[in-house]
Amino acid sequence: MRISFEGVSFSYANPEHAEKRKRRLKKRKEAGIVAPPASLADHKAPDWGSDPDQVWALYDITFTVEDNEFLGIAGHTGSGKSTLIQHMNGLVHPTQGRVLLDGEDLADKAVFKRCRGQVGLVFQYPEHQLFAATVAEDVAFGPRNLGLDDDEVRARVAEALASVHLDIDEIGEKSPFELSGGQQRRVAFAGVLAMHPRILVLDEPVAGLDPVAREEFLLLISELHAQGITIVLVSHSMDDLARFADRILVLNAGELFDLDTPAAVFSRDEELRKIGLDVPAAQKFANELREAGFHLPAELYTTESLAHDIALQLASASESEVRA
Amino acid sequence: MNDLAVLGRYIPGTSAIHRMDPRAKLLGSLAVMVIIFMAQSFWSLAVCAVFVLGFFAISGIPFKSAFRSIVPLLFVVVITALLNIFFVHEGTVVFQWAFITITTTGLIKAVFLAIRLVLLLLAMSLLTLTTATLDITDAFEYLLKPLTKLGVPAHELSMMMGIALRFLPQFIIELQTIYRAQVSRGAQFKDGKLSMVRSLTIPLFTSAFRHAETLSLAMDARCYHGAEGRSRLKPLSYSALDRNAVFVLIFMLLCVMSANFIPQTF
Amino acid sequence: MPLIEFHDVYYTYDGESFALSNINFSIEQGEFVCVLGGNGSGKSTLAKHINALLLPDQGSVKVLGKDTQDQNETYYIRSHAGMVFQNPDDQLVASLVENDVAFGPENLSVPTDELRIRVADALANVGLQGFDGRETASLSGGQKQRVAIAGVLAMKPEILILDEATAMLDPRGRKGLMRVCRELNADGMTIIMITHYMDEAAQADRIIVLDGGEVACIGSPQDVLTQHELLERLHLDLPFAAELSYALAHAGIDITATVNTDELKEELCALALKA
Repeated sequence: MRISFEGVSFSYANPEHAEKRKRRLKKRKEAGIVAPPASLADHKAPDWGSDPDQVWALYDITFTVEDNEFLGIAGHTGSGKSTLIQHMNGLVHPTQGRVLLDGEDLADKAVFKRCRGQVGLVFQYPEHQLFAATVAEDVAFGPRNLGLDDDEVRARVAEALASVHLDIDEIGEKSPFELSGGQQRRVAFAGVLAMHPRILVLDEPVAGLDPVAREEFLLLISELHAQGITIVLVSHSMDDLARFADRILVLNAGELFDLDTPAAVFSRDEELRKIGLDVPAAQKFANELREAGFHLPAELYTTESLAHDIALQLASASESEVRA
Repeated sequence: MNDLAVLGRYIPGTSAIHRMDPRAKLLGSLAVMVIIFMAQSFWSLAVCAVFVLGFFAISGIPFKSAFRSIVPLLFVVVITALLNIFFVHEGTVVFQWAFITITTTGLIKAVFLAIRLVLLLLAMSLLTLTTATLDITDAFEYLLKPLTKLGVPAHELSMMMGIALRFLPQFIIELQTIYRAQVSRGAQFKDGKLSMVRSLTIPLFTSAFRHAETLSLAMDARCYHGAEGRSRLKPLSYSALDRNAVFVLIFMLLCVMSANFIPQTF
Repeated sequence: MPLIEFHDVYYTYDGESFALSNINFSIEQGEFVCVLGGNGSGKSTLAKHINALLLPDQGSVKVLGKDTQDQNETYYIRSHAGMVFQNPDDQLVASLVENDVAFGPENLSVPTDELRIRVADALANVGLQGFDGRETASLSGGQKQRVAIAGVLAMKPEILILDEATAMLDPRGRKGLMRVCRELNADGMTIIMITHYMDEAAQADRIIVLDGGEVACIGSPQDVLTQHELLERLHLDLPFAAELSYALAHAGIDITATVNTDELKEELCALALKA
């Protein structure tokens, strides 16, 4: 299953009005009638950190999420990441352009209805959306909404909980609020998996977890990917993106900055720094060593592979000296 | 769902109205509303309108923001107008069909009440648009103070109001996220089924409790211990501005009263 | 006299298991201390003991020479040891920045003229000059946390405690907050930072590692963060430089374990030159 964005632009406000308002606001600011623009900023838009006068949350985005791909999305806060992924399951529709799911326009109500559940969207801190009296009931919410019969729902709940490594017999009848934070997040995650999505879109899935829980969760995601689910992962952690993603899409101020393999994206480290993004620590260090004259052939480094290549070079250098 | 800012959000500024003491502003806007109620004819309503628009001009608040702030409450105006159109049966009949009778008096009354309501709403929104919420709650606390002797917890009430207002925009954003998350799980809210509504309200409540827990800790950590011995960043003090406002309001009252005597020709 | 002293501190939430046990350490004026540990290691519990939000069941905590058990000193301690919490959305009290920053000193009945100066100074110290009249709801997470710090600074504290204050921020917000903390520390503020992030811990003067409510290790970042086995056992990550130097040593390169990337780079360049 593929999601294609064709020239997608999105504005929270009517773009013409917003343009006009922006001009008027500027005039008024210059005349000194209205003090700072902050509280006049369009509070409808989640625009923290970005320019409050920005008209387009997304502008002219074209790309395709390929079948069974692991796509990473990077961009600093306010770059439009959240808005972008909400287009993927038809929660918001483009102001201009189209989003196609296997060639069908998601803005079409019939298509949207048919595709419900196919694209699973996991929001940031998904445990904050738990509500049912028991874990099993909460996970069943999605499948029930799909109109499945009781047996199927039960089967899916068991399967979904198993796939996030939770034991249904142990916690199925517990209140989700009794669980630890990490477990709550797994339950919320299972709630989306129970709808059998073929594409899973995750917004900062490991935010706020401690290192152990982080690692477990990332491995869980890559397990699901191995089972054939397409993954779209939004993350601030360049290390995580470099480690898992096939391709990385970089957003800046609502525009597509780059879409390429991690190696290619992270080779542009100067430009990335300018738009407020980091490069994975190992890659950054490799770039610094290259500048200092080291020969490091690989395109993308992890700490282990970097140590290996450095050791190799230091050894071969001393060997050649011995021979000389 | 996006814009729940009923009656408008504070727009910072430095106009005379912005600089008035919030207590004076609170009482003043009440006075304006009372005066608007005293307007008996279109003439006196016109006088009120001139004053209210004048106040907005002084405040520097763009009229469009003012109007937008009252839009969410316009349905009240429309309903009142419709009730008058359909249920006032005095005067000349202009339209009659089945049980519907529309008369000139009904129409005139509807227009009159609609204008009056719009003016009332504008007077209220002038307060909220030019006064920071905390100042409003401070004024509220001060005006309630005489009641503390009767056991009314004035400080606590105003603190609660202030915190509620501080968290309101946050809850709107959170509710929006929860809504989208549940829609992503196939929820449909059109038919208002209980379990669907619960999927919004329960996460919102748990979030409120979570916030409350840390907030109370954070307030403790910042030495909060009630009203006793608290100083103020912005002490309330009446100035010449507030005295002048009293004169302006008396002038408005007189104008409206006199305008009530101008005969209405229809 | 140390600024903060923990003597044989024990604390339990439920009366069954100890969230803190046998805690002994002291912190000197002007130190930058990081507290590390996995979830449930007792980090936050420890932090809340420093400003008397929690009181020890056994043992004593002394802050600026005052015992936290002494109720007459509670406000003195809280105003001198200010605390910033994890969630930027939970700890601001007022809708406007200036009112929020003034909240603490208002509770301490600081007179109005002085309040104005303190608010302006505190905002300048966290790099938010001119934000006085902004609405807290319109700020980014990093800005909200800086307002929270300003709210503490306005009480003129000597100690600033950050309880995972960077955990919910994006990289940019984290860096900004770290920079503010380092600047404050350079001006003499004692900073106690609880964190998961090793790159932040690597910048501290001293590190306290907690495990299961006990102190597992205290020392300089260089000493603590290069202990690969210990950190692995406690499920903590290593800072990048420490991890790479460990991997290099493992691959047979003769290299000093370090937490500082620049030092590591220099050493590698020197090695390459020698070779």
